[in-house]
Amino acid sequence: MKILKVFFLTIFILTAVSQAQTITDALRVSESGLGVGARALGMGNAFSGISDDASAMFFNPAGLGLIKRLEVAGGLDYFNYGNDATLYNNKTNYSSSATNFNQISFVFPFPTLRGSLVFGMSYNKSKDFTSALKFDGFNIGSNSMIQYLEEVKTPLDDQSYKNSVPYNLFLSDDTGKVSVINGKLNQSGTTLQEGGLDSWTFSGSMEVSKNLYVGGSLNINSGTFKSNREFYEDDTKGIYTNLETAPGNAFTKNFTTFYRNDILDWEISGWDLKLGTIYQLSKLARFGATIQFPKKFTIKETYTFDARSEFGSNIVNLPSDLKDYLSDKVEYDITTPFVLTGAASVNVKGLILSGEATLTDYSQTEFSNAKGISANYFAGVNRDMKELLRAVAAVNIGLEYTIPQVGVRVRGGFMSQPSPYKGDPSDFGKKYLTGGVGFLADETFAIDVAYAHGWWKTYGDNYGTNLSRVHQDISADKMLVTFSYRF
Amino acid sequence: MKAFKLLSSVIIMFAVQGCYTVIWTPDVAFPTKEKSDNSDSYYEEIYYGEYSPYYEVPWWYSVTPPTRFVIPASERTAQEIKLRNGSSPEGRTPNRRPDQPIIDYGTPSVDQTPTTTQTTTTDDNSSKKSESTTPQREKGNSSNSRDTRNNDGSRSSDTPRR
Repeated sequence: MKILKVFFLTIFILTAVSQAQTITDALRVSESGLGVGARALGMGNAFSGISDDASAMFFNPAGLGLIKRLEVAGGLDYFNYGNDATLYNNKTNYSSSATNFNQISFVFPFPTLRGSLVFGMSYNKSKDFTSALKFDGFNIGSNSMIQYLEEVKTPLDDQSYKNSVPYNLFLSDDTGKVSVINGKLNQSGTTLQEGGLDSWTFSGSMEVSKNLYVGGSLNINSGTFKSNREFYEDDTKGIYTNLETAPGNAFTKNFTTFYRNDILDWEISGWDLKLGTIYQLSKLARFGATIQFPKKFTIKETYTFDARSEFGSNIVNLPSDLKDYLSDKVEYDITTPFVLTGAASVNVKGLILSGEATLTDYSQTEFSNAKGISANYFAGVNRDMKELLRAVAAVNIGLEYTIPQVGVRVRGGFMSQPSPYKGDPSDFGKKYLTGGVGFLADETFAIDVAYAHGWWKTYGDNYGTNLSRVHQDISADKMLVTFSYRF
Repeated sequence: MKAFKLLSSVIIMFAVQGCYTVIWTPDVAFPTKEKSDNSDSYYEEIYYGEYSPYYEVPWWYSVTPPTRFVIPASERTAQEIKLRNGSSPEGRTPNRRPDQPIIDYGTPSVDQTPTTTQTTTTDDNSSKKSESTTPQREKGNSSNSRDTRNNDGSRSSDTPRR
């Protein structure tokens, strides 16, 4: 019985301190990114019903069958993530950016007497994890991160509080109880995230009936994710200046700062399959549909924790053995839900109108194959995802007009990705306005440039529920240049 | 596993006979614009200018069709046989073993009678040369002899062909 209690208390400590796997982690790899290919992005990624360039391998592999010349394509993107964060009515701006290869592709159409058979392979940067957050505000409430990390001493003979962060940083009494500090601290911090998902894609498409194409893409996925979070609590109003945070330890009279640092490092691997079909109705329209089978990502996670407290000029660091105890390496899988897309494009005298809808039931997202994590914990998170997430329909629309005399195309688009959380208002959904232009030289060399501006709201809790909530107005800007050579 | 089964089904579906797409193989004439049965165009030149060929013209229309030029063996003439069997690189002597001495017969006269060698097969399934108008040249491993394997440097005209 005692062993069982120790086990559950250990789980409690680890989940309270560590950046335990959350719904946010699952959504990180489940939600779609901004795709590949500047032509597609310029049209709001409403491309599953067009898909006649190398980016078809990403959007609708059936469209690969529409390509009749060998194509080599490559792209470079610049992504900037801006965040206006508000904590206790104090607003802080922060941003982070990344530049990546977006795509390197090769397409080979087989010579045919009738129909079409096309193969392609591609490297795609399918998602960018770059994000940033900075906040700074005074919490007038009687809560704090220090109190949240307090260890509960039950039963009486249990010594687990000796592994608690406040106890080791002299922020609690000798029983692990945070008895002096009671909120009213200035809270600030930053979180920087980077990395992305890369896919090596092998695709094929065939015309199975006149104007009807079927194709598939096998994606070998890899990627990295790194999050560095720093959090401070400062006694900016001198409330605890004359109080010993650890009674009986005189040097703790002048508490000034509590600091914690969480570093999360992911190595991501996995594979997935996407099938698609596209039908071309004469020269008037195309209709497409795709099935994205669940992606299975294996996450090898390294979590590193550190903390310290400051009392005037005295600094107390976390003992190294406790740092090691609270840091860990684990491994688990995340399985994303099916994604179904229906698309159409209409071609009217040089103007192409395109639209698509994508259905994703995020409540089907799952954690599994826990190594180094309690299976019960994952069962709880999976249950939370069933209860808190929902099925949503993302919508993409776009248009493109070709000026034939000068070989220039202009594009515009809009995309909407509703929030996967139940009950979130519409402004928590991601929205993007996009535009772009394309040039063609010598009937062989095409340059496409696209720009996308996105905006949405979200929030995050530093600890607990709605105790220290950071409201965030996000803006995302992406510029993408794609070069294509057909011969 | 489900995805694998579905992928297998799609591949099998593609592989079955009767699929619409017919890929070119070297056994048939190379596809040209006139001989191909292509799907509808989406980018008409009037509205898309040079984007039209960018999307609509297959790459194989602009390449020279590969050809396979074969002359049946029965059509090989005596002159071609002579050329083929006698055209060794300069300085090399065909059909001569390294340990064989070089025999100089001098410069052939203009009216020298060409070698005619006839091979007959005996009952014991071996062959022998029955007639030769220029026995000297035969001993000299003339490359004009059909029963001599050329260029392997190991067989002389004296050796019966098995």
